[in-house]
Amino acid sequence: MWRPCGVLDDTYEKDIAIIRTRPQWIITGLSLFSLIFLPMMVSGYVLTTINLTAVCIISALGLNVLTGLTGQISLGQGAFMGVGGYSMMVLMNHFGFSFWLALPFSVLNAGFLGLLFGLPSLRIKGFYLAMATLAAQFMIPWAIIYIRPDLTGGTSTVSIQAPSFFGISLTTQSHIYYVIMFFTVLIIFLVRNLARSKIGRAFVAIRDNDLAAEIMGVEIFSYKLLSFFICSLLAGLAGCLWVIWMGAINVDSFTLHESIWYLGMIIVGGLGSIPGTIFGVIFIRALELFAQFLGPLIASYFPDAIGASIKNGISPFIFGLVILLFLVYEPRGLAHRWEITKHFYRRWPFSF
Amino acid sequence: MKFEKIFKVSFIIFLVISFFSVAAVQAKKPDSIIIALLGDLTGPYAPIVGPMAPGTEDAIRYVNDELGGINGVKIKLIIRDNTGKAALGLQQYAELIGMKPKPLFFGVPHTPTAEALRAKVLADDVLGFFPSSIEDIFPVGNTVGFYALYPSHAALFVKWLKEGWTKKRNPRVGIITWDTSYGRAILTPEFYDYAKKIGVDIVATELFGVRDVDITTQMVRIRSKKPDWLLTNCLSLSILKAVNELNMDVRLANSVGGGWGVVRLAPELHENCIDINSVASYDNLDHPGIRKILEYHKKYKRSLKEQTNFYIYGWQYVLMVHKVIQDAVAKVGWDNLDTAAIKKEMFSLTDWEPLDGVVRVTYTKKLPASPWMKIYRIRGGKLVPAEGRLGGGKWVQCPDMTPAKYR
Repeated sequence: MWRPCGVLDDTYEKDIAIIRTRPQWIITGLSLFSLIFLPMMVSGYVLTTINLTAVCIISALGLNVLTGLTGQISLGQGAFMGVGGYSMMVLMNHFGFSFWLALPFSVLNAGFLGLLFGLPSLRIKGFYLAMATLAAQFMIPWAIIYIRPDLTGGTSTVSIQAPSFFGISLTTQSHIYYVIMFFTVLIIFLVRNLARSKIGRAFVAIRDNDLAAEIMGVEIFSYKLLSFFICSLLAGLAGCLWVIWMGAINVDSFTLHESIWYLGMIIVGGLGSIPGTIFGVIFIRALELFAQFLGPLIASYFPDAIGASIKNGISPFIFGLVILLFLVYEPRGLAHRWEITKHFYRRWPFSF
Repeated sequence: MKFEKIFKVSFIIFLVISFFSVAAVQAKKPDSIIIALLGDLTGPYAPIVGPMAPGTEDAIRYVNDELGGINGVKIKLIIRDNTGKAALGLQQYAELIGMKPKPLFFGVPHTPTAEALRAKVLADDVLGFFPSSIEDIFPVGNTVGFYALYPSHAALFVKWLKEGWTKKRNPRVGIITWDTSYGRAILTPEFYDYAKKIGVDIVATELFGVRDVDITTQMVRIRSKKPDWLLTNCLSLSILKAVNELNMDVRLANSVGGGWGVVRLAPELHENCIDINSVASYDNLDHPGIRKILEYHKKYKRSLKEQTNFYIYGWQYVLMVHKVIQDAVAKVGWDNLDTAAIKKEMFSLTDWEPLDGVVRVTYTKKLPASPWMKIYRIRGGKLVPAEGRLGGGKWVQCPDMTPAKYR
């Protein structure tokens, strides 16, 4: 791992530490501390957007474990979020569970369902596996709508009661922010550690060359399934948090379109990189908001019919263009740009 | 002389007091009343609901320019396009609710977003003008519907059908609609029970995706049940194309998804179909309200595509805001004007017919969706009054399809 000049590890503890230097500790501490006061400093709109972005980061980190670390592809991330969200809604609305009790069950439910859809990964990979996971994206919303619409609400939006914490009802975005941010920081930490563990190294070995990994003794099937489980587990958690963020759930929110956007986020961020995933989510979310302003602006220069088409198509157009440009000019994503920036800063004024 | 001096001083004091009193009263008036329109203006629902944005803009011009605002206070509009995504709608709602002053009313022409916001507008003490799915407006809070409940539209059609039915057997109706919260909003147990009760057989219920252009599979299944009529609430073009291709001898009844926007695309396919609508017909050029709306439509160079029922819902929205705030101010004054006072007036609207009856609105605390609709027959691409006791171009009250638990 790259580190600032002169920082030498003289113990194993230092060698495996995530945060290595005093300035890093200070920056991390200040960042976490500032997260506590963030809701008091920003508007409701910004906070709502931050909450949504944090939820997306959790889901994208899950996909990054599967795609970035293990090299498996999934087009069902949106559906697995739906599993988490709907499990929680059903447990809370129909079985009287509290949010905190429903959360682990819902997350595990999503995890095990993901594991089920990961089973074909033993026999197939690449595009074929993508198609298999695509099946999840079609089957899960179908099941939500048709199997027990009396429980799930079918295609209708179902409201959910705000969770409470020691008697405080978490109704506002600033309340929910603390719940979402707690889980986001926790998941970033856990995934970061996972990538450096035996499991993480097995994932990477499978990604780089599964045949070689198997020869070295890595149980490919178990690890692939574990990767699918973790990916869906995090998608489920993101789905649960998404539901309390929204205060309601609708099957239209967990479409193939969303799954592709998650894939786009980790590609733009940089496959396999945790900071990259975070950057990717922020970048794509910001891009989506930017398109909202850009669309009408461009459309105003065109006649009505063409203008309406531009407004309609600007968001997917920009998204597609950005993915294309990143794949061509920066396939390692924003994470690589971040590393270049860090190296430049650390070596300055002797950058070479 | 002394008396004259006392009189002059008293008069000056009176003028000064009067001036400051008036100034004080005027100072209580807000600079403007802000209302919001947040909905799917460019996404999959946009062909239906999109024209509500220009309708709202033009109605605001009418209220501000011709009616002098609300007792002199102008209405201002903020528009946000959520492209059909409820999550983006929530972000935009958070943005708008954080504004100072925040919008007083939210018009939300997108059913999933409106359903998700129903509880939030109540918590944030603002008012909502929403579509009329059950989840949008029940339990009754701070929101009222654009028109009658969706299943009530369907119930009105089957009532009309039964009344004019002359054969010995029951009329057979096949339902085909979008597989979304909006499309399925007509499919309630209350509607099926009502159809059964009055003797109309619902022989098929089929669903299809918003973006599906070929629905032959569903239509073949419906054809096997030999319906006399099809019933929908979504865009009818793909349905009628399938009817045509399959040589089916059946006509279509539509409600919100129908209207001028769709009929204009293929008038020959819509010939003799039925449209259940909550607005006066654009084709009735003798109607003074329609003439006024068309005047603004022309003045601001709106396209023909925007001349739909949702353009009029934009007018309904603004005229309602104008009416209820004006009534509330007349009762409590600007000083005591709050959401509760406006809400009270909103839920007291009874047979209100703005612009000589372009719409007819009655809201109650039990049913915050106006039950008044009109039944049109489509002939030569025009919406003309349908025949029968419930036709004739008059306002008819939809059967109440309020779910039992909310009655």
